[in-house]
Amino acid sequence: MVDLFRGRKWDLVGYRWLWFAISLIVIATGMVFLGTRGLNFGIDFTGGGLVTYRFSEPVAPGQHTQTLGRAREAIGSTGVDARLQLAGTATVTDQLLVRTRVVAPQGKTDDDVLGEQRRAMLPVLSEAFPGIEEAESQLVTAVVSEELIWNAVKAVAWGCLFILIWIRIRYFDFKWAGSALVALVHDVLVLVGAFAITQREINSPFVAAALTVVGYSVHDTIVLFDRLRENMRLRKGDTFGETANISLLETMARSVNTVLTVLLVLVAVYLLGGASLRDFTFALIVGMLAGGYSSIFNAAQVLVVLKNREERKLTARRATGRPVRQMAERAAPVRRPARLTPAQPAAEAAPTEERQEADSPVESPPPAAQKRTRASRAERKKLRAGRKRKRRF
Amino acid sequence: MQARTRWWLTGIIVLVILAALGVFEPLKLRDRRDPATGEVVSPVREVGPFKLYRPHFGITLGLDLRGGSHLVLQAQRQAVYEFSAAELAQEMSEEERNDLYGELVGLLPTEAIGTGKRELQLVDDRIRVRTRLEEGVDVGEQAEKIKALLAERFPDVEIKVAKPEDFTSEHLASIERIIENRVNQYGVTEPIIQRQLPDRIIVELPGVKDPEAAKELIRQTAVLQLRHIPRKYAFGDEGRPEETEVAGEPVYTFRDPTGKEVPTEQVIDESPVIVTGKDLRPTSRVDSLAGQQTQVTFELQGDAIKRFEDFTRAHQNHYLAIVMDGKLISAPVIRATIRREGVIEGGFDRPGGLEEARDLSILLNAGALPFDLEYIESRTVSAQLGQDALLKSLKAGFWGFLAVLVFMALYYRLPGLLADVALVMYVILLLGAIKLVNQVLTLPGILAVILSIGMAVDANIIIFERLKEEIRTGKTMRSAVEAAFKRAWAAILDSNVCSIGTGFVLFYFGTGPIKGFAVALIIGVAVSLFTAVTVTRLFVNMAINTALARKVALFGVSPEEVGQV
Repeated sequence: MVDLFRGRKWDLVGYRWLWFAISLIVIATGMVFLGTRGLNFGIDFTGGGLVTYRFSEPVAPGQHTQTLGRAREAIGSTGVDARLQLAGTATVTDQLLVRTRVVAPQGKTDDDVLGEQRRAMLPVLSEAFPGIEEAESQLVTAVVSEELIWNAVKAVAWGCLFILIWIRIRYFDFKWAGSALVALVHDVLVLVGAFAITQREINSPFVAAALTVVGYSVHDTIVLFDRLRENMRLRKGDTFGETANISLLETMARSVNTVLTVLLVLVAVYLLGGASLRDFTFALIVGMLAGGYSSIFNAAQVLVVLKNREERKLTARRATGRPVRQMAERAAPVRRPARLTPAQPAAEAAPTEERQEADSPVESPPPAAQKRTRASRAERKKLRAGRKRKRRF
Repeated sequence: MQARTRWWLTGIIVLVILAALGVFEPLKLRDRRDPATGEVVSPVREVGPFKLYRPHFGITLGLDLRGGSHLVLQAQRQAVYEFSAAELAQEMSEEERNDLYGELVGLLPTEAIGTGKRELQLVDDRIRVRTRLEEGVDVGEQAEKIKALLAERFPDVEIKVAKPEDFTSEHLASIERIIENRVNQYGVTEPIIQRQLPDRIIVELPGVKDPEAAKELIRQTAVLQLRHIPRKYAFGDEGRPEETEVAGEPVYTFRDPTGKEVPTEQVIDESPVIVTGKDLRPTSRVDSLAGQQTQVTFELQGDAIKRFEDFTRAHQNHYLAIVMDGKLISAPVIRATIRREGVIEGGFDRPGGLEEARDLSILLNAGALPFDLEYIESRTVSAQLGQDALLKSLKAGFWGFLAVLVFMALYYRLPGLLADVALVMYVILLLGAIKLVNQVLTLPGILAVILSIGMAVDANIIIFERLKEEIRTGKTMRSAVEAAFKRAWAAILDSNVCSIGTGFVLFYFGTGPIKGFAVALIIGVAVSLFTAVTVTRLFVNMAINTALARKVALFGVSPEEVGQV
């Protein structure tokens, strides 16, 4: 298999506003649906009853609406307040999910009420669909659903707090942490939007999926940032944007392959696994895609925007003759724009001085290397001396 | 091969074998029950001339996979009130006391008090009322309400006691014990019964044939009462209540002296309690002999023996009401003095009656619950659906696993293949670790295992991408491998901290199956650090000591790229 990303000279950083626009459009679409249709919360969060029936034979494709109609009619005759849905795997639909509203009158428990509903529904359904059987029944009372909601909220809050602290520890600078955070928020918004659009049910597993996605997305971003930080040490003459672009290209294969392997297994589960895991898996698939995208196209790009702003500020300060103290932290005092010049063949690239360092790691050629001026070189030397005293990462 | 490498290799192989033995338990060759049909299956299967031993899967499956019920019960709080009045302090004959009791029952209907259940008692010179404390009911208000109702009959009534009944962890423990007794006698294999403070019990029943019956059995308060039916409703042969059968169950019709029909509930309400379930020894049994009525025999204990003996001697031809949780089971007439043993006959001869008699006997022996229970959560999955879900997710897992193996081998060539070997070991070790910590494997747990297969190769991908770059710089294979693993390690470690951290958050706040997901994920990430880094590194190191190392193409790098950077 070839390396799809080897030697590509895409200018990912230059198009960052496009990537942001794509994210914003996707999120905005989701939010519009969220505003108009809302989310479809399952019984874990609303309380109530859920009864799953299994048909003796799978429902033929094209018969879904008709089957649902007959089932609705049958259950309608019992007076049970219910919402119906067909379920199954990607190819075989063999289950009927009935969500009932459970309101217990004085002196009766919710469990009694659901029991009555089930006893009423089974005979009429067996009449309409011979051989149908009850496969599952769930009751969640208001006491429990309230707790589940609270636990979900707490889980999300603690999860976010943990990740925030972790990023803060890992990256001293709020710019890095903030960029990683933007990516997380992006992932969660895309996920919520996807569920608003598809109107899939949101139950406790959704929260588990969201947290898993968030954890994995940070994991993805950290690997990318790690490379970026390493390259900052190696390519002191480049602007932050250039360094970021090269780091992105270098880690592109890894980022894509990582998401790809996870997607391979998730899609297998989505297509072949049972009905009970479908929404969970769907959430993971959407989240992993969003997470993979956001690490490359959001986290790193937001960081470039923030760093460029910082660089501009520093340049302006130097111009007014004030002391440039923060310079030690970041390498290059460069005035060039973030956008890269067209790619140069690798062989032409001038070797950088850092080559001399003993265990010199890998470098890709800086595309704009030959543009380097003598002045900037001298400046770099000065900076290196300062950096020895205070290295931030 | 270096001695150190050999030791590592041996250690890893032994570990994997141990994990495999732990998971599949090939040595456990006992017969087992098929979860779907409940039939006993022999582990030996004959395939042609061979006898194959089906290994036993050692990890406990969750209820969502093998079918069963997950139930959460909550104890209903109660309130106790005591009232005094001057009239109650006076001397009364038994007859008068009974009449007074009947009057009180009429004074305090449940609806007027605002509760689903109330219990009355005349204790010396006080009226004791126990109510089930419904949600949002204030004890003080309820006391005033009862006082107002009583004031119609006793103008000088006073509230002496008004408080919610204490609910302590001992109460919860006794509820747990009673439920455990019931479940064990019912015959459920491997039930799980847990207390959840302050007032909940979690019951998990795998593979019950009739979950509804089991649920009913667990929940019943099971207060057995032998009550004395007032003489005006039933006495001797001429005052015999009409007994009819509806669907095989006896139904009694009581009439007052004027011949007017009185609802059975009212009759029971007005009958004072003589003996309760607490006075029974846990030795009741079902007698079902050919040609005889099925009956449940019970035995009294303690001072109840004497009390009941005196009572039956003094009340010949009176009727008793045998009441279970407010429901009249039978109303026998007293013909002899009963000392120790009594029988309950309640139409147990109809179809299904024998099971009912058995359940009654279980309830009598396990004892009554000190508090009413209510199901606040109940999830029941049929064994077929569970097995179906298990097979489907295993199938999905298999194909996903295979896809990852193929992908790694194609994309990363030799190291990819070595990572594949490590990945197979990973799956075995992961299952072994799940078994080791005794984690139940739920459906989301299986998803986590499958998901973690996709995630586990991430470390390999980071390392191998790095390795390609290092090889391209023209380093020797040995130093390239060394550098790749060294540099990738930092990124791998701290990116995985995040996954583990969110896993712990999920574990802490998740319930049931979600916990299973979190545990599998945490263990998965931890184990993958070992297999994807340590094990793969060992393999790659072994590989580069062979002739293979000279062919960079095997590492996914074309020879002309080397040294060009």
